[in-house]
Amino acid sequence: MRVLIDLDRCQGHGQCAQIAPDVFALGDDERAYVLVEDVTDARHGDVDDAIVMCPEAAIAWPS
Amino acid sequence: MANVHDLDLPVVDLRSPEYEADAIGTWRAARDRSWIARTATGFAVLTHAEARTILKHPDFQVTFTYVDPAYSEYLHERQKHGLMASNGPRHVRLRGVAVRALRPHIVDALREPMRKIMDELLDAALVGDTCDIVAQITDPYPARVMTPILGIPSEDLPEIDRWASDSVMIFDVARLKELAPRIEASGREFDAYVAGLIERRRNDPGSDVISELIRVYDQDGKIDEAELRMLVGSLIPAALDTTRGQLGFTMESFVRHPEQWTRFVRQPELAERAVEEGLRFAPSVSGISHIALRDTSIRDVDFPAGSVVVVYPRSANHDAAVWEHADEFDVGREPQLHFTFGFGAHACLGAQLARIEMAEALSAMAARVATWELAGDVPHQPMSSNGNRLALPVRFTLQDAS
Repeated sequence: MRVLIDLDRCQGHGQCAQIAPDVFALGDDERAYVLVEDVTDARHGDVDDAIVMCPEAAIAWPS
Repeated sequence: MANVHDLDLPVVDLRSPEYEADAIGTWRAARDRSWIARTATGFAVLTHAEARTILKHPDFQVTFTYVDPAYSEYLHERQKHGLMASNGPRHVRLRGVAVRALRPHIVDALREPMRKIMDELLDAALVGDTCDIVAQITDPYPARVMTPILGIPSEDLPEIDRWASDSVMIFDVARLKELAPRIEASGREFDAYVAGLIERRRNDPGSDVISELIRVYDQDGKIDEAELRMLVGSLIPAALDTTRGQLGFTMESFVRHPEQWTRFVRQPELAERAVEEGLRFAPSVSGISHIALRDTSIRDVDFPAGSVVVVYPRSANHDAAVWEHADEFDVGREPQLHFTFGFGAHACLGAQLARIEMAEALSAMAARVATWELAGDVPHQPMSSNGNRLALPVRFTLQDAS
């Protein structure tokens, strides 16, 4: 499954990149980007944590 | 390049009557001269861009060595092992555990109970035409919302309340020496309470957050017993004390800007923005301290290793470079990054929960109250600490029943 970042909300705290550095990274523009097309099942748990921890509620699974 | 210690900087005295009367204006005057000021407890970062830079900078780390071991060895050790003082992999691991309590399905399920609790408080408070918003509405609300979720018996609340009020004195850096004995005595009682509470929940587990943390501890071995106590001990004041403090500030902003309340009442869809503007405009947080781990520089200023810099949301949230008419309370504002929840790796874990909790509270009030009018003084804790409002006496009018 893909995971989405709302770049209007993202403020570049970088918490997602700390929890799941293989899925998220901060770009030069201080916004977070998703590194992978498809999040493997094994990484779902960490991405769920990143969604919860994001202080701006900017990360979500597609609804 | 200039060493920060040699610069001619504005000086801000956090214990002065001027600061007590108008913290935001005092910061503004300093910010007009420089992006950095000198205080008794470190260099104050005044501007938005530099605040963001320092809160993310790898050479600066959150520091919680406020309490000199000479004042209290106990508090010193306690801070050293706390969540705010942990960094790197340990910090990510501990947050990973704490966050289980905040999963979206848990938080979303809270909206209805929040609304119901606020409506009950309003039923009691909105009798006649006067009330005290802080004592009757915003202070009791977070505790009523959070105790069942945390797994705390409600009869323990008065005691927890007293401990929590004492514990936030630790942020009153300027007065720590005199306050340390009281904070320590309270801290010891609270820590003993937490240890007992964990035992109670372990023997009689429920679906509450503390029971969940105990399960994580017992099953995954991801945290040790001391970390379990620390997490539970951090969660309780974080859940009870922070939101009520901020709601008091936000409601004071509304009471002092009646036209913004009228606007919100007419446009209830502004709830999320009103919450954000309340956080920006009148933060319930004084300063966020960082220490330079090595010699480093920001803009054209050198900070030797060990320099303490403190980001003050009451300054950075009012930076005119980021917000037009920054000193106006405007609930329709497009939200932008403010520092009331901190920023970066240590940003508030409960920010999403707190936003929902405050939005439900404001919406419930706007559905019933047409106008507020200040009807007395607003006593508060020292602004060198978090400055929480202790009373907010008002005269109110209700919406037409039609």
